[in-house]
Amino acid sequence: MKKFFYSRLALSNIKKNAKVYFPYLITSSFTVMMFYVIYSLSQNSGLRESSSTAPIVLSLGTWVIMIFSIIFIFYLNSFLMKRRKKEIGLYNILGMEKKHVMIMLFYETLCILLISLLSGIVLGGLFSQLMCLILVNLCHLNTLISFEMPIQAILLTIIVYGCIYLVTYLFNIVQVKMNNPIELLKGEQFGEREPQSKWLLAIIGIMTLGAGYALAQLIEDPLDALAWFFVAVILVIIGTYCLFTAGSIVLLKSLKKNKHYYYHTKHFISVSQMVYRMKQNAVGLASICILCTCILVMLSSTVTLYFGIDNTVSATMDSDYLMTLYSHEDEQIPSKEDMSQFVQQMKAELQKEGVETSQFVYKTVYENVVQLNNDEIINEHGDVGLTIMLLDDYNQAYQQNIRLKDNEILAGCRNYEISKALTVNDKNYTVRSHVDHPLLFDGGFSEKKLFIVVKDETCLKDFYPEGQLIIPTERISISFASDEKKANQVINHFLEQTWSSDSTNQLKEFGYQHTSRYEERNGLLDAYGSLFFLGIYLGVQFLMAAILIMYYKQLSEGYEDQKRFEILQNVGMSKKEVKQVIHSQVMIFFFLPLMTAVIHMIFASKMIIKMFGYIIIGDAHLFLLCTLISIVVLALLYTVTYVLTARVYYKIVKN
Amino acid sequence: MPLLEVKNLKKIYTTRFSSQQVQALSNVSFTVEKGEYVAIMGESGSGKTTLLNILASLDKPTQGEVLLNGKSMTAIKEKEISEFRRKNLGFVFQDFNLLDTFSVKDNIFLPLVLSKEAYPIMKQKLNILAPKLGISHLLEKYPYEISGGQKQRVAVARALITQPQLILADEPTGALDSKSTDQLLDIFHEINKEGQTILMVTHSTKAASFANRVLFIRDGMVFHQIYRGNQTNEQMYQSISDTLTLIAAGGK
Repeated sequence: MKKFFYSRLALSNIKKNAKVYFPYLITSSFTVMMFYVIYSLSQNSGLRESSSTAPIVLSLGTWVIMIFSIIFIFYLNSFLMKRRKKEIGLYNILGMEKKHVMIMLFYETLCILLISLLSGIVLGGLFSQLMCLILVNLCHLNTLISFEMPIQAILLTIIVYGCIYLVTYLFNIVQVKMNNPIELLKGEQFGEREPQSKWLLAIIGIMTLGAGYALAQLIEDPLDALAWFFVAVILVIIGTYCLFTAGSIVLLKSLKKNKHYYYHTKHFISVSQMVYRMKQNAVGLASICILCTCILVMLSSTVTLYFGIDNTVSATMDSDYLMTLYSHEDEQIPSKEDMSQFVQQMKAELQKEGVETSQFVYKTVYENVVQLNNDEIINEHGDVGLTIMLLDDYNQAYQQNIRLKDNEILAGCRNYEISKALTVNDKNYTVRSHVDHPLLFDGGFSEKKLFIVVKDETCLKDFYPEGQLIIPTERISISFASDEKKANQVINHFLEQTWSSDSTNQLKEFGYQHTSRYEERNGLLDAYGSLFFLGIYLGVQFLMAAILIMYYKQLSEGYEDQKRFEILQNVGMSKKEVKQVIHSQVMIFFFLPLMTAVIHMIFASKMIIKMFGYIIIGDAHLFLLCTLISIVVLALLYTVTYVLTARVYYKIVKN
Repeated sequence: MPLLEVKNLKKIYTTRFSSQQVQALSNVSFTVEKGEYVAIMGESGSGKTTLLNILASLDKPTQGEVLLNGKSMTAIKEKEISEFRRKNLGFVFQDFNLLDTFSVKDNIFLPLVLSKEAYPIMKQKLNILAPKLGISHLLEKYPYEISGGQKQRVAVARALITQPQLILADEPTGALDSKSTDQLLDIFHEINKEGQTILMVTHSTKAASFANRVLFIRDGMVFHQIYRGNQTNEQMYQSISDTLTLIAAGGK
């Protein structure tokens, strides 16, 4: 009987506080579901077999959701405890010992945990299949989706959330123990002290935010951008929290000091109320702002990556299929005869299998690594990848008809600028024209690359140190007119046969590499598809959190403002004026986090584009478009939720 | 012409969920002359609060009218009513109704700011008023930092700063200890001597004994009234007590 007493009390407490606990339960269940789904997906056997990156990305997401859950559930718990202080104080005074309050709280926590786990895991089981389907489609994977409900995922979910709730429970116990009943009872009533201006914190906020913004604007090098991005993110987060908490109060208090501004009908009430409002809600608002910024960054960049796949693939490859034949330095160059014989064999094989080609180019490319110093090439091992082609080859491969003089070259470069002239081995070359080719992307996007077309082999020797063996790589580029997948299979099969141990082909001694648009695209779809999935997935989770924080904010403000607006009306403020004040406050608190998030995003975009220079090409416009769309989508969702939660506020205030 | 003229006020409430009607005021008529200090007494449920709400233009009567300076308050449009209240009426409430987000000074300034008064003028008015109410040293403090008696004096300052025609006080001593009550009643007496008209609704015989005239309300009607004449506060207290006893005994 006594046992049931506490559990019943706990249940009825939750029911009585439904306005607060119901959304809490929904969010908690939702978070459990999100965790379960992403973890079980990362463990899904079908996905593990067919995708190389998705499981890694998903386990990353599992970590993010877990860490996020800890912070988020703690935040909500402390909010709830603050609201319930009075109730707990009352229990104390009515004769419940602290021990009993603890037992009651234990049952409450247990109840919430069980409901969240049960509904979260059941819903998670249902949704994981849908999510799996979405992921498989995004990544273009060939997997049979099987219904799995891994016991391992269920157990981990129970352990993780069990621990989180246990710690929040311990935290609550400490709070109950430390407070005395009178304080608990008065907890909410105590007139809040007017907040102090914390200049130091405000200045730190300005400096960290400024530093974060400056980093985002000043860094030019893609690699640096990648390395410094997280530093900038942390600086901006610190800056946002400092400015929302301290900066806003410093600003409002200085507005208050300006008598002519402050004692104005329009500003008087808003300014004085906002000082208090910011004191209580700055952390919540800053959190909403950071969450919105995270959503924007994740969505815009993952969407850009995903939809930029085709651009990336076509920018990095001349043709549908590229085979490179290379030789070691001590080995011989493949002879022209062997090469042309091999090319003929390949063509015949393709024809036999019914693969139609739209392009079949064979070219010789010379590669070297050098140093570049103000348009002077120094023949020492350096950081610039130099790719050279002979003019005849170049004309043939790219169907050009360019003539060059002895001291003329064609040149193209990436991550590096050259002018109209180049010096090498004390010889001056004039750059006839600049060219841009996917060849420039060989070996990664971040490297400094120089591509040169020279007139003949005499000129070629200038670009190598004296006496060094000049070893070219032979490249065969093919584009298909028929089915890519089949063509890939045919060529790969042919290459395997030619290089197999019982083959008699002369070229067997040389190494070969092959890439194709088909494979590249599939690799990118796998990687970026799962990132895209994760971006949206986390976006939804963060949005859910932002909504709940917003809801609680409106709820607590509503109860506080109710009395205030009543007094204002008694003192002679008309209903219309009161409505205006309410409206303008609601609008400020609506726009503040969203606008700040958009400003953060604008500053971040330059850095993100720079980082994309490392993995994606020529997609600044795509990125800006995706960012714009993300902002619009977020603003819409945000507005809808705000209107809904504001209704809660208006309802309370009007009563 | 009297300052306030209440003619045949009738107020009937209909509850939202039933057709049952409650008659809060059946027929109330009285007048208040300029410079008078009138207390209205009555038991709970006698219609005091309803009457005060109608006088404060927070509520509309079912029948009858209220004239302030010969102008009908019931005829004022909804739009102008707030301005009318700010300009002509000052309020003192039982639970002070101070805003905790404002300092004492800003609380007093509130009605002036709403009337778009310039800061130097507001300050000048406060400088005259604050010493009279003994709150000069409290101006920069916040409501939660001061005592109940001090809060009520601040509320009086807020009511007086607009120089209203009429002060309406609703149980102003209800939440105060005896010492603070004495102080507040002295203040009311002082400002009344300076010509301020005061209409106070109260339960407290002591508070009522400071007034020039006491109206007794029962069952929604003015049942009886006592004029001070030349009586001292103590004599007045006695007269009021006698009347209350009479009412309690149910006599006529």
